Amino acid sequence: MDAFFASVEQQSNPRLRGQPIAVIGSGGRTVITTSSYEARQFNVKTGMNIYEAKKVCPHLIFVVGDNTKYTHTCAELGKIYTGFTPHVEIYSVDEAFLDVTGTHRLFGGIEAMGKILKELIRESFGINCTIGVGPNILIAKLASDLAKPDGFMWVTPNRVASLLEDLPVKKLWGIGRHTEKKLEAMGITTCGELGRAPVSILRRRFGFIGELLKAMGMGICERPLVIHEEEPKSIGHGMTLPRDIYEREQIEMYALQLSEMVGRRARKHGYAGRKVSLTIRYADFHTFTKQTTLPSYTNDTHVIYRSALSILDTIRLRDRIRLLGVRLSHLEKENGQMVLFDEMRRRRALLEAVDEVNDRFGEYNLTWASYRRKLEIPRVISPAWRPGGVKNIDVR
Amino acid sequence: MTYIGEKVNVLASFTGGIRPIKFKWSGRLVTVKEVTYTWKSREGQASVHHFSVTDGTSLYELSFHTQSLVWKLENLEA
Repeated sequence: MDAFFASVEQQSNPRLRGQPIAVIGSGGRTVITTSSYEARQFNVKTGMNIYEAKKVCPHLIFVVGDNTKYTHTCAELGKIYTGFTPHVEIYSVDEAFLDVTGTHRLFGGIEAMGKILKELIRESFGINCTIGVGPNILIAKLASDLAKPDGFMWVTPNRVASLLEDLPVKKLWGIGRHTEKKLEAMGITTCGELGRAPVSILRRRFGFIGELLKAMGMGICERPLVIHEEEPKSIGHGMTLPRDIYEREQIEMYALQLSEMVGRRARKHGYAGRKVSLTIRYADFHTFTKQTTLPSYTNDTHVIYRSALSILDTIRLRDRIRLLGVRLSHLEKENGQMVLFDEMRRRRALLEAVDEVNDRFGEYNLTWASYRRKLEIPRVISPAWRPGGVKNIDVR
Repeated sequence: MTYIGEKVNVLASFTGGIRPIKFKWSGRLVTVKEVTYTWKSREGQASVHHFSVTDGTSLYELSFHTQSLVWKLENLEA
């Protein structure tokens, strides 16, 4: 999708159409999550704070985003895609990969299919998208990046080499600034040069990734589409706090909420884990994670919370905390094992009752009083968010 | 947008999806000229349908709760 959140807001509110707008969060420490193409002309960029954005575009209109609009639209888009092929990977809230190898002829070929899909999305939501087509997802993604906005680009296999020859390596999906700098130091700046570089040199510099980089330079990518959700390796939640905190009581309150979010999601999808990690980011952005291993598998909020606190006990805080995260890993599917002890049976029954109430009436309707007054409902769509399964998190 | 969060009486069509036509708020009747965007969210077992609508002058955000059958005017941009 092109400037997805901003396009949805412009479609929702006719007054915003054709205007430079920036979508921001509702929290106090918000940054720009997306801006419209009109705003991008003024160099408004994702990640800028309000003051930076106002400086480059004084007449910029700020819109507080509504994540339910975007997640719903993403799920609906998924339904549209499956009308074209069953092989769909929703890669993020605004990107998807479709394998149309076996179905494009049903729609009159690649170009005709692209046109139909773009038109259908415009008719359904009033928003534009860009479609890139290629022999693999690396080239398809590159094509869509090059054709933005509201474009269509089809790179046939015989055009791959000429397209890549003089293309800067940073244009390739997966090559960030860090890798770009390292490649530059080796005298490699274009994809053509990367594809011709001896694999032994790349392997020495980048390890096994070296081979992958060479293949990328040649336009080769063997990553299959991830159509079915993979078993999760961990379940975690983190939150940037409304203000930096130092007081133990405050930290405990947020740790309890995060533990409940983790435990609730694990129970909902039938997972239990044996490792609990606590992530702390100080006000100066220094971030670290510590973990502990439990004697048995759990998804009990209180056990997760107690473990997080036991980790906290081992840390001597040297600054105020900006971000806190709790994660449950070393996961296993729950096997419905009977609980032997009365106390544990009661705890399980309590959690089941709480979950049942929240399933029926909505999240956080019944929860721990100690964090109720400062409840922070998730308001950020993480890159891992998906419209279904264990990665589906209720965001507002 | 200004948060309103008030219950409202809505005349809506339920043929081929839900579509608000008119609603009464603050003693006046608002005629929906265009539904600019629709989306859905969940509240436990219930679905909540959201509608961004305009009468040509102002932008309103209406919601319809499928379990309580309550319509609300959530937000307004005059």
